[in-house]
Amino acid sequence: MEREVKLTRVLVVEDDVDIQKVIRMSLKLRGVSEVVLVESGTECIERLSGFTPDVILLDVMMPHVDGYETCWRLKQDPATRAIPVVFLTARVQKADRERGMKLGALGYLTKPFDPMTLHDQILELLTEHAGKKNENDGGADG
Amino acid sequence: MRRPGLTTRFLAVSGGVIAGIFLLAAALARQSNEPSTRPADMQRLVWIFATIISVVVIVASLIQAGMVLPRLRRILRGMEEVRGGGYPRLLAAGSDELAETVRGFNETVDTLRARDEKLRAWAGHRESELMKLSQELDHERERLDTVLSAIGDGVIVLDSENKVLMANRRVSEIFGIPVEQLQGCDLAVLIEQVRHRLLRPDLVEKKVLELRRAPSLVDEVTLELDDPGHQAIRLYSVPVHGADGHVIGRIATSLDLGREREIERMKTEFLSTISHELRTPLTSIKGSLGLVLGGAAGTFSADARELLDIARTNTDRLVRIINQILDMMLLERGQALIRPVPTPLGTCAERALRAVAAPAQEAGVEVRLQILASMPNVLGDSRRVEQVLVNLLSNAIKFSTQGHEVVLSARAEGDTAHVTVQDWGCGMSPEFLERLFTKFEHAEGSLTRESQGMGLGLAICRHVVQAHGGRIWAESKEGAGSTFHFTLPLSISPIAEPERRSAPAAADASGAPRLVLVIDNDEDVARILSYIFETQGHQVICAHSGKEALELARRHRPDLITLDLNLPDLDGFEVLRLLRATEESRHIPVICISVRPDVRLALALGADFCMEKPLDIDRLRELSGKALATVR
Repeated sequence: MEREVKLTRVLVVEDDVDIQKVIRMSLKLRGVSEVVLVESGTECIERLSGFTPDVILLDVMMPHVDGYETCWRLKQDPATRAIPVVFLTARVQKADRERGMKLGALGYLTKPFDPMTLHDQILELLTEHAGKKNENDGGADG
Repeated sequence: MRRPGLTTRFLAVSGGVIAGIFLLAAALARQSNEPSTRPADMQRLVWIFATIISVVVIVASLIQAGMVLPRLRRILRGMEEVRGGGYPRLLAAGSDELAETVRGFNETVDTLRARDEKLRAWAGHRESELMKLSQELDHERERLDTVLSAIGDGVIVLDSENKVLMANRRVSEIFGIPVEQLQGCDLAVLIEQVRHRLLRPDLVEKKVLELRRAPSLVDEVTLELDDPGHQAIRLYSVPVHGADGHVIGRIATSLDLGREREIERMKTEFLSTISHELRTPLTSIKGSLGLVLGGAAGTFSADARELLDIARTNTDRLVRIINQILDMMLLERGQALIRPVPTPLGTCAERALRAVAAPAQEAGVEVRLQILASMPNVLGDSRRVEQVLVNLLSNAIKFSTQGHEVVLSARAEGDTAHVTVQDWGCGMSPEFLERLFTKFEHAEGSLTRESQGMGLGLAICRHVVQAHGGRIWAESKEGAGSTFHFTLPLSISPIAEPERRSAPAAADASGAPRLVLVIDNDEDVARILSYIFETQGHQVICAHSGKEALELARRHRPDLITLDLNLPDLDGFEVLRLLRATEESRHIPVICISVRPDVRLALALGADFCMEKPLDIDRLRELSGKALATVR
């Protein structure tokens, strides 16, 4: 049976307040009911106790704990490992992208982004991910 | 009146004496004839006569000596004075021989004085000249010393015996020997001084030996120092030839690689920061504009929409420019990560066509694709190949007029793919064609075109194509259109399994294919490394864990090992230590390749070279060539 892909709760980890607003508006406009904004990797990890978003939108360049380390910590913790992480960052070099993907992220989106397609891009990544999981589960079942 | 000569005077005195003697002798003879003269009287007279004669002779001698000796003494004193550096003048009264001698003496003294004065004047002149030259020499030496000390890199001048003629402060720092003590030092002694600080003293000593054997060698050697800063110094040395063409010495300069690496790191950091700092505000601007235009803030007039569209278009343009600048800088410095893998050119072309579909439609230009389905894969980074195609197609569309077409075609020529993008637009002048691939160049009069960028597109294309080992060029005729050509290597062997594969050709100087063991936990990276070695004619075996690597090294005894430090089971350093501790693998050259900043520590554990990721393919080829050259 196919899993239902939903995008109603998003945790945004972004230290720039203006960009936070743009992301929130762009997601709200497309029907995301709960957009939680935090400013750092530490806040992100704290906020996840008792809250499981459908996806974490993660910036890279943040003070203290950067996005890469945040992602690594999330993937190390069994409680947060399964939450899909999508990077949304101004670090556009290929090596940065590869580093992010190697840490277990679902996708790597770069800034500046199109606010009208951001929701679709995330949804596409989640759908693709769900499809792969279905295939794997199917294979395992079979 | 002329005074008589000495001879005359001596003869006069002597004549007087002789005359006296004759007179006395006559008187004596007369007396002896007298009958009254007794023999006793006669005897007394003879004694008196002898006494008188003796007195007269003595007096005559004294008179003669008195005439000569005082004048001779004056002459001797004069000569003594000349010997002491004086110029005496003697009184030359009279006309006898001594007076003539005194006059000759005086003339000689005068000549001597004149000659000495001339000599002194010349010596004074030469002395001042020498003084001036010496001052100039001192000045030049000071200037040279200042220049040499001001140079951050080391400079050392050796004679034909490899002894130091001159060295600057940096050389003194490197070898830990004061500058003044470096003079005359033998190169071998200097190397001995730092031997304990070198990570690979054997390599350096070998190089010194080579230089001794072949003095005319132009060479370089890297000194890796085992100190806390892990200094790495590259020494370049060139022979100095004399007028007859023989080597009379050697000049070596040092380049501090640590500083160079630090500057490179800072540049990368700067680029990254600039990129981030520019993108962050642009994200807000582009996002806000997008939301407003998407209706998030309600409706607005057509004029307002048009103005907002202009703002959005120009924001996008700004983003493209930033991307191009960043890309150009990375490509120029060889830091753009380009990973050539077998890639279907048709797929890249189709994606490029989709990317330019909108501007082509807007310009009324038809873009056609002519690539056979049987076209072999190229060896390329698909994203980069697509970037080149989009750039060339965009240009072709930009310079075509409505109703024209643009054709993208490709064909295989030997082991190369030849790609062309042809248009029948306005074409280019021969002058512009020459500088076409130079950055910041625009076609004449094209600055007014709305879509014109920084003039970086073709420069980026050139870098990308060259990074793939290809070539790019263009042909054009004003008013008749342009054709852009570029080549890419074809993929000559499919890469499916990272297992041992046969070598296409032996690229090693020895003529024999070498066996390379690639150790990397990332299969993609291992595949790329394999491909690099295979295209050089070597055979490759891969291991993705430490234990597997040690087993393969023991079993196959490869000629070269590349070692990633991040392995799933054992730490890369531990693998290196075990390789060096095992008899079978002790002598195999190892190149450590890692993202870890401490990768250089591997040199201390016996690695021959180390490289940081992202992978620099040219550098890897260079290092593997060096490592394999040591294996026979």
